[in-house]
Amino acid sequence: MVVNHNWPAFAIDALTTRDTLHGILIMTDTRYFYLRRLHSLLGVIPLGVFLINHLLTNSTAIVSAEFFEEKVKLIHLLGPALPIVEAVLIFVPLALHIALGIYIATQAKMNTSTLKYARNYAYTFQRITGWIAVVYITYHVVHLRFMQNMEEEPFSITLARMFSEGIWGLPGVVWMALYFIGGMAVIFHFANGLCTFCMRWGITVGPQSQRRMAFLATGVGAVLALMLISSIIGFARTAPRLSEPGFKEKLLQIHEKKEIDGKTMISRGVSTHA
Amino acid sequence: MPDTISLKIKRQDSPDKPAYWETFEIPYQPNLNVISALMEIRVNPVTRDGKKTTAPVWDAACLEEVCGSCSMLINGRPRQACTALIDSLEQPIVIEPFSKFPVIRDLMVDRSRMFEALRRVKARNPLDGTYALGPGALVHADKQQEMYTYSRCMTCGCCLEACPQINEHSPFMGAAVLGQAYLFNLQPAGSSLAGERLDELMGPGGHGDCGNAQNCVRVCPKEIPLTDAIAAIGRQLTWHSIKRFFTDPPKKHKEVQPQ
Repeated sequence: MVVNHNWPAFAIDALTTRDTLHGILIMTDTRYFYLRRLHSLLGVIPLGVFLINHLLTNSTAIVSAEFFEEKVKLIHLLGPALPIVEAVLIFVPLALHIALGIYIATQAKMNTSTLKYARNYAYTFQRITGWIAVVYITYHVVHLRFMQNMEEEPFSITLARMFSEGIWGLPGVVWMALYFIGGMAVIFHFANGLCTFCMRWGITVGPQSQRRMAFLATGVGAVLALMLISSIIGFARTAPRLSEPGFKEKLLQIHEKKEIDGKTMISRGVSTHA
Repeated sequence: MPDTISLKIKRQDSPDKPAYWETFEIPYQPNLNVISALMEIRVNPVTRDGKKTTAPVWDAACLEEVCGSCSMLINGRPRQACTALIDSLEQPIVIEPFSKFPVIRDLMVDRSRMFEALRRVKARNPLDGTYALGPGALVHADKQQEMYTYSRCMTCGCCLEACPQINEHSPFMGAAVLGQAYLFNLQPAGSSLAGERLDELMGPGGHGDCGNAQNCVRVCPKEIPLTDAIAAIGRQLTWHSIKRFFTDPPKKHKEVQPQ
């Protein structure tokens, strides 16, 4: 590189700096920046929105198995479009978020042992809960989305059995604990992710606004945690009804009915425990 | 009150040699700082076990927390040795060089990556020219105060040392550089390069690499609101990146090479 010393200092500066760095192509490479923003955005929309919807649906299990299956049916009304909607709004964003997340997590060098600050702990937990969430969600999707045949057994029954007598050689209590830990990890990851999303995009600038956002996110997390607990208790409470004659058929019937209106919707009042 | 001061120092003879630890004990004196304790060791470099050794090497200049050159890890915390008072430290005082910078010798590290990063983001005013540019623009007192806050940065490297995102796996330039980029984007003269600065911060090691652990603002000896700058740069980048996605950078006239 010929550096002409009649040039203004900033021009010489720029040229020599470029030489010492990796060259103009890599320097102006903005790929990582956009991917990092994408990762941040995907965590909130659509994954965060889906998480809220998912927990909201599941928390209705505390009302009754019938009420919960009605809510599941609402999602399945999408019919043949469901796999496409699932792929575009859940699986592809989830896969991208996980792939970028693993790359991000492997870059971290945690130091909470010497710097014990709340946000530093949150940074470390964000990565730990991310790893837990990857394992938990992978299991959860494989088991309840791909191994589950809804036409043979409704979710309420599978989960009630899982949380009472247990499956695959693990007792019900362990399954409840695993679902609680997995769920809480995802909820923390989302709530803290809301805070860091607002920091990254420059929505919250300054400690006061960031603290307000942290309070808000804690509130969101607490509500989601209540929904998680309500789902687990709801499914566990369904367990005694497993021996009820015709219970399974009754639930399967909900999904077979074509229409959803005031008459066929099984409301809170109709579902009675035997 | 103890009658001795014991210091455990991480030593390294040269950049390619392995590090080792040596413990020293010096007679107690009130009101010492880590630098004066190190000077005391230098007078008679003998370890606690009576082994004669070389005097520890460290970097220092101003001795009033303005230059940043005596930055080191003191009991695990990145800070300046000159303002680390012995009487307020737990003993044995563990002294290490910064772990995120190449060690030159003992406690002396090479911080040039920070200066290179400052050059890269053009953290300066482009005022050099061949004719007088006239007086600068007037700046409101509130803005002056804000600018002053960021101008106190001494490039000491504490924020980089505390950052979990700064390590061999990541090209992150660190919080100090983001703070300076924000400062020069605030300045009337510096803001003429704001676009170029933001372009650089969208590149490798830029704003995207921040992980929001916020240790930087906690360890900054000058109490610079680094996380405010990072969030504010984030906001500038939100608009700038959208603009960059849809608009090519301005075409630059090719400089004619003189014969």
